[in-house]
Amino acid sequence: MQQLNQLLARLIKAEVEFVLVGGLAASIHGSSLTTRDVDVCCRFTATNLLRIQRAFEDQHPVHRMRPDLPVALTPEQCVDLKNLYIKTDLGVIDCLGSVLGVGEYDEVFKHSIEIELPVGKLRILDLDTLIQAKEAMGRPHDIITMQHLKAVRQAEAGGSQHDDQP
Amino acid sequence: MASHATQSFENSFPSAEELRPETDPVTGIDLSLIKENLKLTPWERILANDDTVNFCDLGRAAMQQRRHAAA
Repeated sequence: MQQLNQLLARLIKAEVEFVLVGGLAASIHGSSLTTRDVDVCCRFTATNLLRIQRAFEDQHPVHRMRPDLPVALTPEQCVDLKNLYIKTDLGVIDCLGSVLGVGEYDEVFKHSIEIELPVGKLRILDLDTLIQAKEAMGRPHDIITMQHLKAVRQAEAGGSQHDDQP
Repeated sequence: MASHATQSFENSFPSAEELRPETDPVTGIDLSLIKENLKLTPWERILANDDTVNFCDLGRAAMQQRRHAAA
């Protein structure tokens, strides 16, 4: 059973440096789309990646594309990693070193906001930057998410996104 | 001839237009669902996402079971 809420809770508890991006971020902003994974942009240092590893060590973490291969990183292996795709008993988490249309972790962090959850503080990509990232990715499902996010922005502003059209 | 009660119902019942959920005219996105989401806290939105996905998985498993039973 998927428990993305617990994936997030564990990242927060383990003090991982990360910003939530992707579908769950869209959902938190108000999109009515659902998602099956957690996408985070994180600082790709050995310290941070080993924190991620420790956060899920009791949840049978494996590399998503190689489920026969448990996630058991050494500090040396961390150096060359750009992304890390993990499957756990709680669900799937994609750890990204950068976000298309935004940049690497520091840039992503600059465009994030902090929200307070019952499990702690969470940094999430802000709405405008998430729209920008989805636009840059440009795949059909990104475009749909982008349209939802624009609708959210308009709903928050109190209108329809096409109010200005004849 | 319609009874007084029916007439009253017809007069007070909203039009189909009024009952249709508000959608974006170009994308067709249901804005009423988004507005409902915006009433939730971020944590409630995360839990709702998990609940929805898990419920869909239950439904899919039941559908698969049905297909196996029929085969």
